[in-house]
Amino acid sequence: MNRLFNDRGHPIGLALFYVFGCFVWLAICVRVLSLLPPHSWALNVCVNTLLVYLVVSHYTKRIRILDAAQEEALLRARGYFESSVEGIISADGAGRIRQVNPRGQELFGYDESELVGQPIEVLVPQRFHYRHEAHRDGFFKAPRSRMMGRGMEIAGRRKDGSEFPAEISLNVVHSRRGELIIAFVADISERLAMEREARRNETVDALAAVAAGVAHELNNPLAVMAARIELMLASDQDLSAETREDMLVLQKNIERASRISHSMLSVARQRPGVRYAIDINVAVEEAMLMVGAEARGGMLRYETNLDRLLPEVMAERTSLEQVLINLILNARDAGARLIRIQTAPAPGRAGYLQLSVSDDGSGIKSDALGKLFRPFFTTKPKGTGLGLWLSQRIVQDHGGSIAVESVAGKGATFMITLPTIDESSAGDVALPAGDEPPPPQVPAARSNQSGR
Amino acid sequence: MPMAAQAKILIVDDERDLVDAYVRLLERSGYRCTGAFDANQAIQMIDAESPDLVITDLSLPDNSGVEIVRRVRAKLPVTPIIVMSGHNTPGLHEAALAAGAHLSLLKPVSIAELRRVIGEALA
Repeated sequence: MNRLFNDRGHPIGLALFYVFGCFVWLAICVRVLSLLPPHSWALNVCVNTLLVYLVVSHYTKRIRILDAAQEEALLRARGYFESSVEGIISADGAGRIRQVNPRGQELFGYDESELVGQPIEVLVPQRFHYRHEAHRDGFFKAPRSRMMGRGMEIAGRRKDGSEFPAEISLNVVHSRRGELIIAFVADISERLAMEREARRNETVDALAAVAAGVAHELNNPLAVMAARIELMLASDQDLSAETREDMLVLQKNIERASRISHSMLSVARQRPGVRYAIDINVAVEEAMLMVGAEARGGMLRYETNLDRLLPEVMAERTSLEQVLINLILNARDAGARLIRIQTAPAPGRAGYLQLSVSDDGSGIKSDALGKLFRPFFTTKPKGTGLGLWLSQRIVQDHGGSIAVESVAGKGATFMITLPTIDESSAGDVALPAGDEPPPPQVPAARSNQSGR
Repeated sequence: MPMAAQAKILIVDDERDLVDAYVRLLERSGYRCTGAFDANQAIQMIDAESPDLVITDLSLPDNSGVEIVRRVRAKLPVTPIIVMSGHNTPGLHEAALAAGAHLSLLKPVSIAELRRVIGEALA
């Protein structure tokens, strides 16, 4: 009750109301007494008591209802405040912090007690202070609820000085003690990262399409050049040793250009191929067969550790094999003497498997490590710089990811994580591997290997 | 099937420079080789010369490469057909294979590879 009166009306108004109420009461009493027979004090007391009781019980009931509603509203508000996924910060008209909810404390790394009474600017990066104060003054001149700084970069500053990109909406509440500004703060770093990634993918796709177009246009000229040079080399006319040498260099470079063109074309596959449920171990064995891992004796050893109980993956087998071939050939080129291929459930990720290819070759220098999956980045004199990029795209196409660990001089490990059938094919009808249509009778040479 | 060395090969591609070079290279390898630059020419030669092997580009004008494959298959049921395409369109390759092509190659095809697949097809 106390709270109710504190929150409503003015103390002086309330006092006047009481005084006025007493006069009304007296008037009613006099009126009632005049109607009663004289000297009937007992009756007078009874009637008055009854009237007082009725009036008081009426008001207490109303007050109780109001009080309960108030209590509930307060609890509800507290619930919203405490459990909000957005940080909620309230500040007074002077820009001093009044309250910070748990999420707000978490976002900024402060305890509420450290913040209450502080200017709101402690939560704003230094470089925005000037701008923020100006905006704050502007806001108070015409306070209304709105999003803060539309189209501007907004960041929150944590206790440790680090920043996070934020989205903030401002609300104004008018109370007896003046205006209260309530800010809702959301950390949008994850969303921004996703948007960046999506934009990057779009750009890469567009570039890949352009590159494939260029590669396609280059095919015929390259083929003509290669054929003509071969004709010239094979013709009987006696070429000088120098000319022959030059022609061989030309030939070698045309071959290189053709390889690049080929990779570009496989990058921009125009539609994903058909996927079947396949055993990843079979793909591993097939890829090893293709690179001649079985036949190769002597210096290079292969070691496999294949988990035969792994669930199948929905995949385009030739693409995955291409990835494996790329990784194995890279390991070979890095001068590996032992290549270890392993399949296992992905550690700490249910519904995924991990395929790793490790070698004891020359490893990857730390400055190259970050650029490894970029198109046209290569450390090999004859490399196109497209193998790992392509591999990454294929793996990502399959809903997986590829990562690398390496110490220069101590070999490298490539880890591919792929969703297994229960994860990637929810709703799809998974075909058992045996239902895959038989490949064409004649070996489909390169069209089969380098993707379509 | 005749001996590989006397085999008649028809090469179809709208890139004249390429057909010309292939024809000369393959003749040097001992094949009898003719070139055609479009589907009409190719079909005439198929009818007139009954080649032992047909190599055709798929991305001819009007996409008539697949039509050539059908034509060869209709007239010469066992003649091997090798198709080549610079287009990275799986549909075209698949259509050609369905129409009876033996082998589908992605351009550019090196001369060494061409010799190898011709050798295999005529073996």
